[in-house]
Parts: sequence; C-alpha cells; structure tokens
Amino acid sequence: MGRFNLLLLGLVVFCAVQVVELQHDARTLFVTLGEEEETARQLAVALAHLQLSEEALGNGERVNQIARRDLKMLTPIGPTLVYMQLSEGVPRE
Amino acid sequence: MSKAVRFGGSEVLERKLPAWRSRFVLICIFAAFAALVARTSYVQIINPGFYQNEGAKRMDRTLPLNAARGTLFDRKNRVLAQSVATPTVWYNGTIVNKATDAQLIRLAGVLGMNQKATLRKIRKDQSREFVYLARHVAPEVAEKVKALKIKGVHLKEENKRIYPHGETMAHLVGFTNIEDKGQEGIELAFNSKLIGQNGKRSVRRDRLGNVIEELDEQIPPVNGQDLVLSVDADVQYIVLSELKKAVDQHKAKAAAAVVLDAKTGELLAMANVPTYNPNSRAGLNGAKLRNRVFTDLFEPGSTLKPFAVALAMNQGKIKATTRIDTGTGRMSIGPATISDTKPHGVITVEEIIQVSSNVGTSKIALDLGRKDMWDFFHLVGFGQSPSNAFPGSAAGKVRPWAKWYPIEQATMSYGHGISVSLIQLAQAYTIFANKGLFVPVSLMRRDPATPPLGRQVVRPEVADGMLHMLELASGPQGTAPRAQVQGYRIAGKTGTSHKQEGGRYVNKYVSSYVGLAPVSDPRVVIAIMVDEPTNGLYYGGLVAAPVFSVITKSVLSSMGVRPDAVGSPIQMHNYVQAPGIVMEAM
Repeated sequence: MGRFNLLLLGLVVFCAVQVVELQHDARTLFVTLGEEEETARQLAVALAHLQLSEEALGNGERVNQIARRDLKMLTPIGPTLVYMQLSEGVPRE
Repeated sequence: MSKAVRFGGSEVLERKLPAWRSRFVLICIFAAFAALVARTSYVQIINPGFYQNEGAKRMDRTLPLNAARGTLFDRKNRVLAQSVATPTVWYNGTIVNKATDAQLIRLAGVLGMNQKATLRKIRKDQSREFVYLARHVAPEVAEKVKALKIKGVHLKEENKRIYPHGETMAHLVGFTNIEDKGQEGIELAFNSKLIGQNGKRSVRRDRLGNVIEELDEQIPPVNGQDLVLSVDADVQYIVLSELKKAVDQHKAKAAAAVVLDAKTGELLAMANVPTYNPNSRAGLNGAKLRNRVFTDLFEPGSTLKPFAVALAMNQGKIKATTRIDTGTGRMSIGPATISDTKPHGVITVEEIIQVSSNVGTSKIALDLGRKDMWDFFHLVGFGQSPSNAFPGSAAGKVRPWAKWYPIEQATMSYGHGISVSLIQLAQAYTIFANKGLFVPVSLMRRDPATPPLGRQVVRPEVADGMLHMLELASGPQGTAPRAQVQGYRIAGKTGTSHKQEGGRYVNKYVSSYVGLAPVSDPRVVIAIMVDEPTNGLYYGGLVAAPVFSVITKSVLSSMGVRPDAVGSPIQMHNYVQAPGIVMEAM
C-alpha cells in the first residue's frame, strides 16, 4: 500500500512538472506566433507603402513630365495626325 | 516528573533535556504550519479574488484592434487614397521628466523640432501621462527615436491617409484630418462607409511585455469599405493640366471642369484650379479649397438656351425649321431690353441656337407656360438638391414660377436670373446625348450589367434635333468653332455671363462651354467654366471652347473612342463673334 502511494505521489509530481513545462511551451509558442503576426503586419504595411510609391511614380503628371522632358515626346497636333480608315473585314478592336 | 529525551549516543548530547521544551517547539512548528494553511485557505478559497485582481491589473490588458479606413480606387482600380500605419511619438510626462536635458535635446533634433521649445514643453507636462510629441513621423525617424532609449518616450502606430495622385484628385477625393476622419470631398461624403469598426482582444502579458495568453475571444476589427469611384485618373490629369494652362493663358481667377460619361452619368473627371495637395495642406486657403464644380453657383448664360428651345419643340410649338423674326436684335419687355450682338432678322430655330440669339430664345420661351418651363428645369436637375451626396452640393436657384414676370421668363431662357452649378449643367446635357433620357450623376463606378435609372424628359427626336443644332453651334458658322476637335464631331453651346456683385451686374465674366462628343454616338459630356478671364478675351467661344477642344481630344483618345469625322479636317474659321448678354435697364 505504501509503495502504491509513493507511485501515485511520483505520478502526481511528474504530471505537475509536465503541466508547467507544457504551459511554458504553449506560452513560448504563443509569443512566437505573436512575433510572426507582427512581422506579417509590418510586411503588409511595407507593401502598402510600396504600392503607394508605385502609384505615385506612375501618376499622369510624372509620366507626362518625363515623356516631355527626358524623352522629348510631343502631343501630335493638326496635320501631323493621320487617321486611317480600316477596310471592311479587319478587326477593329 | 517528565521523562527525559535522549538525543543520541554522544556524550556531549547526553545531557537530558526536559520533555516539555521539545514539545513546545513541536507545537510552535505545528502552529506556524496551521497559520500558513489557514492563510492559504483564506487567500485561495475564502477570498481568492484579491490577488487574482492584483495579478490581472499588472499582467492583463485589453488591446484595441484598429480597423483600417477603406481604400479609394479609381475606375481602373488605381489607388486614390489609402491609410497606412505610421509611427507616432508620445511620452509619459511623469517618467520622461527624469531624462537629462541633453537626451531631450537629442530627441528634438531627431524629430526635427525646435529644441528649446520641445524641452520646455516636456518639462512643463510633468504630471500628464500621455502627451503626443510628434504624430505621423517617418519610419526611419521612429527607429532613431527608439535607438535613443529614453525612458518614458514611446512609439505607437496610427493610420495616416496618403493620396498618391496629390493635387490631381484633391477636390474630388478630399482629405481626412489627423484622426483619419473625412473632412472634404468623397472622404467626408462616404465617411460612415469608410471608417469601419475597431475590435479588441484581452490578453495576458509576461514581465517582458510579450503577449502569452489570449484571455477572451477576440473581437476582430471590421475594416472600412473600399470604394471604387467612377473617376478615371488619366482623364482627371488631362483635365486638370489643361485647366491650369487656361487659367495662366487668360489670367483668370479660377477655372473648373467636369467630364461625365454620357451614357451612364458616371463622373469621369472633376477638376478645379486653383487646387491643393491633400498630402501637404500647409498654406491651404478658401480659394484653393473651393470646389467650383459642386458648390459654386453661376448664371449659365447661353448654355441654357437649348433647354427652353427643346421644351418648346417637345410641346410641338416649334420645329427646327420654324422661322422666327428676331428683328433688329433688340426686344423690349416693359422697361427692359433684350439684345443680340447683331441683328439676325428672320431666322430658323436651328439658327437661333447656332448664332445664340437672345431675342429668338426669349420669343420661344414667352410662348411657353411658366409652370411648364419651371417643371422642365426641375426635371433636368436645376434648382434640385443633387442626389450624389457630395458635401456642399448646391441646389441652384430657380425662382417659383408663380412669381415670374415675363422679363424673367425671357431672361431665364438664356441663362440669366437663374443659377446652377457646373455639375448640374453637365448633367442636364446628358438628355441630348441619350435621346432625351436624363441620367443622374454617379460618383461611384456603375455595374456595366445594370443600366442606370434615368427618366425620359423629351422625345428622342427632339433630343436628336437639338444635338444637331448644338453641332451647328460649334461649327464654322456657330459661336464656338474653336471647340472643334480633329477627327471627331462635337456638339455644344457657349455661355458668357456677367457676374453680379452687390446685386448689380459688373464687367466681370464667367465663360463657359458645355459640349458632347462624338456626335455620332456621344460618349462624354464635358463642361468648362473659366471664372473672370482678364487677358482681353471673355466670350465662352474664345476662352472655354478651346479648352473643351483640347480636353475632348485627349479624353476621347485616352478612352479609345474611334474618330467619327475621319477625313473632314476642322475648319478654323475666323472667330464668329459670340453674342453678349446685354441686360439693359433691368
């Protein structure tokens, strides 16, 4: 009887230690999850910044300026424009 | 006599102790244990809440989960406004006060703030636990602040609204305040849809501040709704840049333009000059902020003539070929005189629109019922609160028909004594593009599968007839040959009106032009208004019509609309003098 009680006591102590250890593991994993989520959020913020930068770089005013200043492009005017009539049967779009 | 206790075989310990002493120690130990058990029972069983609460106070937190404000897109899904998390620096005055002056001066330097003023401010706020120091700082600045490791100085994240198209979209999109709440434009009009709802989570932290446990079910944030506007960023840019050129060229006080999809009523562009950059609002003033398309009212002048004439045609009172005697170009009604710029004699209704005869239009209008005319103006949106919910949208002024005198009925027919906004004017012209169907303006992109709900205002043949007249009005013999666009047939009407100051007409003008293109199948309605041109020219045909021409050409090309006037080069005739709106002895 005494031995059985000692065995039970040992089991109780083992279980208690396991509970503490597993709880610690769970919390460590939870902290890691939180850190990963934070990283994901930071990446999402960085992506949003990049998308905005892309939008700003591609906006009409900047493209127009570069086209005129750097590429020396001009809007075709008057006689420089020639409209061509497509013949029948040629796909239009 | 009590029995002595033996403590071993050692001779030193062989001394006999009285038994009561050892029992006394034993009792003391048991008593101490009993006290411990009693205290433990009290803490754990009888009153467990106290220490649990104390622990919760130190370790448990409810964290807000911020909802992101909805993003605004243009019709081609390009971002017009987006909120991004941005660092904000704040401090706890009770703690930061222990930092040295040198540390705080370094902090001010990193933030680019006045060092002395910052030091003074921080020293003054000693009792406050939360004070903003610098909001919406750059991420690299935030890193430098963090590296200073000043106790009591913290970083938090706030949403900052970014407008990648800057001033191009300013008046349409508007802006938010530092709290991310809409203040102007679409940001204000649709604020309730855009803001979303914050969530929260209850967590337990460890001593390092890490979240180690979720205490309750999280209430997730509901992000604001993303909105896809009808505007096209390409078209908007074209319109704004041409307006700026027009303001410079004519030394005008301001200018505004609106481009509508003629079929759906979708707003493709809306621009004002002067404008502002919503990302950097320093130096913003009323003139820059003013949205002349939606909120400003003006007398539309001759751009209103097609409506009175269309009503008369719809009622069968006249036809395009009906001849009307405009005499010497002067007509008296009571003490007032209505004038044309030159005598036209007997001309057809078609020619009345083509040469923009005030006398001819007045004669047609005076044959209409006052209530019929008032009803018709309301049917096409004048004097009506717009349905588009844009902040500050003006309803315009159309006086009650029962109070109209004949002279008022006559002058209203050619756009005097009535005030409208530019958006109302453009919206009304959709009836000529849609065979008499009035299509309300939409700020949001419409579903192509769902045709817009419109109302038939005039018969299709009347609308088509008027479209033809408007094409003539912008032709070589009309008042706006400079509105013509190479490769496309266009139709439209000029307007030139005196401004009123202190209840009197003064020699300041509003030049306008409203047109449709291409005539074979109208795709856009474009309205231009130039306010107070001061460089010598002020007629709508000379000031606003050329702006229409350039904008229309670029816009139709940008939209991929096929030219409908191939092989018919535009004829730039000498300017045909536009009729003035001379109000004598009114």
